[in-house]
Amino acid sequence: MSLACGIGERMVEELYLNINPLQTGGRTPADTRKAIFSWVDGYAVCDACKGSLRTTDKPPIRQFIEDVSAFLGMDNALLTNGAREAKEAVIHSLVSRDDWMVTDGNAHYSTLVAAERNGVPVIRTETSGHPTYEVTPAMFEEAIEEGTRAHGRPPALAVVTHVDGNYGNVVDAKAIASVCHDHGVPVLLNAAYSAGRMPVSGHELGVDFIACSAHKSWAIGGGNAGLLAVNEEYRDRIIRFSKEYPVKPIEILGCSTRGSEVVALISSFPYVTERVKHWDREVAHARSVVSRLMDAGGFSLLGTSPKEHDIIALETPAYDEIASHHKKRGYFLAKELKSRGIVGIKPGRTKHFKFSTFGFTDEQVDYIVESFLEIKDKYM
Amino acid sequence: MSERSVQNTYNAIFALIDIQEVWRRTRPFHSLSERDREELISLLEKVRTSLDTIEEEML
Repeated sequence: MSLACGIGERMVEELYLNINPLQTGGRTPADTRKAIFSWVDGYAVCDACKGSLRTTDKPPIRQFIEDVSAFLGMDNALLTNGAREAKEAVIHSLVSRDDWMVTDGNAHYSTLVAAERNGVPVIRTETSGHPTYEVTPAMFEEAIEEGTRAHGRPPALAVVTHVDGNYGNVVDAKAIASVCHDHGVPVLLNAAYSAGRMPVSGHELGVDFIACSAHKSWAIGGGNAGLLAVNEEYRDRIIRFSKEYPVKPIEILGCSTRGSEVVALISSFPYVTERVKHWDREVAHARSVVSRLMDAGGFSLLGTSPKEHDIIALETPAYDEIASHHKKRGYFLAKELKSRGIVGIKPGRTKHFKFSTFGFTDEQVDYIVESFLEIKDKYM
Repeated sequence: MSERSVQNTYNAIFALIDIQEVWRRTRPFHSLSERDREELISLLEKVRTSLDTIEEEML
């Protein structure tokens, strides 16, 4: 028996250690897969609709929104189709075409595209460049002052990438928010790679909005879902309702993620609230991997050190040297890893690549490092 | 056939999803500990019981 239309079973998460950083935080626990199976049919979450997704009690979406707002240290939240839609909702609500906004030099492309969709000019901060690519509060200060001189007024919004997806750098969001607020600029934290993996509190960081990606970091699997958490001050400017349809929030066009993914999000929530308590273990795993690879030689870290996040980016001259005389060229690495039960590195890459150890046991992390080292030793 | 059969279909699938979780937890070699084996045996029993119930309902 097989899936229809030649799609084929995936089985990646059962057969391999998948270290693709895009996928490790969205991997589902069993209870979530059961919930998805049960609620997968179209508009199933609307069986007991009261006119709006956010007021639905069966399944308990209304309660979830309250609980998740508190979990994120914020006052309210909207369910969105992803982090990018959450960011776009804030930009659309607060920033006009005559304004401008500031973001960091490591911002995800969707931050820039969301601004572009709204016709909003963006000034990006510098980064420290190779090899650390760090973004500091001083860089935000500089970009705000430079943009204010150019535009004649401060930015209408700052979008701060809490953790970037290329290097896994964690910015000092609290200090950056303080700089932005000193200039009267509201702060949207892009927490696509942080909230759901590590503890994030909007009140503690002093941010005004948090954009979350549920499929990236909240263990909900493949369905698209996200969250936009807002503080009290901006609640009514973001969660505005239609005049014609007063129960429908305008920024999510009434109801956003209205499929099994919202049930997945509710069912994964206890798992997520528990796993963020063990974030120190995830950081320890990443540091251990980096330390062992650096000690072995032939590897160098991209991004800041010590590691504060599970995304690890490396330059790998050792593998690149092997690729230069291997008959499979750069593809040898992915092949060697796969033969050891490890996938998730882009095939062909040997100069530099990134991976994630999120969610693995001590033994599995040890095995991943040993495999990297064994492959190097096999050819050098 | 009845709601009981449908419920047991779900029970069997949920137990299979729990078995899938054992494969995920023990990847990539699936070297099972004694505890994993006990869990697996218990889950297989759940699947069999549910399938038996569906079969009884059908006959």
